[in-house]
Amino acid sequence: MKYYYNTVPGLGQTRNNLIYTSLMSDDQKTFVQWYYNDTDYHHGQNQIIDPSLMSEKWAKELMWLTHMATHRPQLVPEIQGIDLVNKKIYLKIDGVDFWQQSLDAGCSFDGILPDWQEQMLAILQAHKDLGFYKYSLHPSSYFIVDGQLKSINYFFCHSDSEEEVPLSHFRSHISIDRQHKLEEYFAVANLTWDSVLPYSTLQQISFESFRSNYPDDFIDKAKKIYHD
Amino acid sequence: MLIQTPYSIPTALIHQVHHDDLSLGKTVINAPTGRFFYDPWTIKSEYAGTVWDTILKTLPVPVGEARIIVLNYGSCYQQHADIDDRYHLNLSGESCYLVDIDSKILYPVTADGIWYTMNTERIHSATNFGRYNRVQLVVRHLLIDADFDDGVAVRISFDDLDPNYARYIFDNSISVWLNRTNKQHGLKNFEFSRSSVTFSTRPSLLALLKDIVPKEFILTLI
Repeated sequence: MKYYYNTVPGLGQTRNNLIYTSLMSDDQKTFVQWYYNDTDYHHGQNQIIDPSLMSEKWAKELMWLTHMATHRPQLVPEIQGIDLVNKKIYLKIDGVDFWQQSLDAGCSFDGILPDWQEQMLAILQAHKDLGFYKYSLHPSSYFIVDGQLKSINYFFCHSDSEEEVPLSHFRSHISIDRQHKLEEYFAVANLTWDSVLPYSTLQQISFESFRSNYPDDFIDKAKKIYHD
Repeated sequence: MLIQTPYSIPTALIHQVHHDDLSLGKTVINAPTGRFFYDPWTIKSEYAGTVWDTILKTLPVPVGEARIIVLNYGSCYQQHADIDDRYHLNLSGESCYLVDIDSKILYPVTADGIWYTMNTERIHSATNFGRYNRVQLVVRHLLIDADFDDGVAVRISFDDLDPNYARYIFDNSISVWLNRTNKQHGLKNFEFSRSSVTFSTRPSLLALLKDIVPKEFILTLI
């Protein structure tokens, strides 16, 4: 297993994930979410250094990934194994993630997977149907296996039954770029990091923050899922 | 066998549980809305608005039967597996453990306010080595509504067996297969009666089932 990074034109190697350490097998058939704050992987820029927060993220990942694997197995990668001692989840994949495929090919998502919008919307609909919100929506949070989009990164999920907390609770695991996008939105919506919002509202804000990653019409359809 | 979920209850809620009011054994606090193992259960009217209702709502997923289980001090359960995994919330007790008998591992359970999910495919038991009764809220995961068209309908039944004896054999063999097969989306329409269970499974899974059905039971294709 080797460290897995995304390679972004103009930026070079960037971390595939800010929370855990991403590993991939040489044959690109297995992806490992290693819930360990590996300083080498994160180049000392570790986002989550609070062990209790890391434990919370690990527990969330276990809860909601396995919930999806149980009830919507076709929408997540096959779980090859879970190492509870070392906090590693082994996922069956086939090549680099959706975002990286698009970057490598120098084309839009349509050129990689023509029906990606329908597939991604089906995944979002499943989250809603199963009663939770997922805020990790970056295109690197998906793999393609046999033409099917597979969703990963369930560490940042919440449900209405949970106590609402200030937005600052999430700040450490949001990228600096996305924090800036959120702050632009906060300025318009008269919000601050101290604001406490329903998880359903956070879902809508999360979609807004991904307008630079996905077409506007896709974001509008995604937002509508949670309005219906 | 036992995995911590991200969900918990405030310790203040634990203190609101009046242990003296609880009777030994199992008390069901919710009721089915449809199929016993498949459709979400809802709180019974007598528990609506109580501390039990509040506690149960901290689980963010649709759930099956929820039971308050009081285990007497100095006692344990017979080893078994279950068809459905369980959520566990321990509310009181000392020197209490869940036991993974397959792996010979003890899991201490304390009133930490944390919901755990338990893989009950493992042969397991629960023990209370302490002085006080142990109180837990134990909640069934719902079974998966598997989607396959070529299912084979099966009945497994027994004759002339003491029901407790039969249950022990069943839970140490067939329940393991049922739990695993459910997770593999290979089981649907599971129902039970006093002396039999019926369900559908995928034809490819039938050979293994035939191999593990104990001689005391009768497997019939229906």
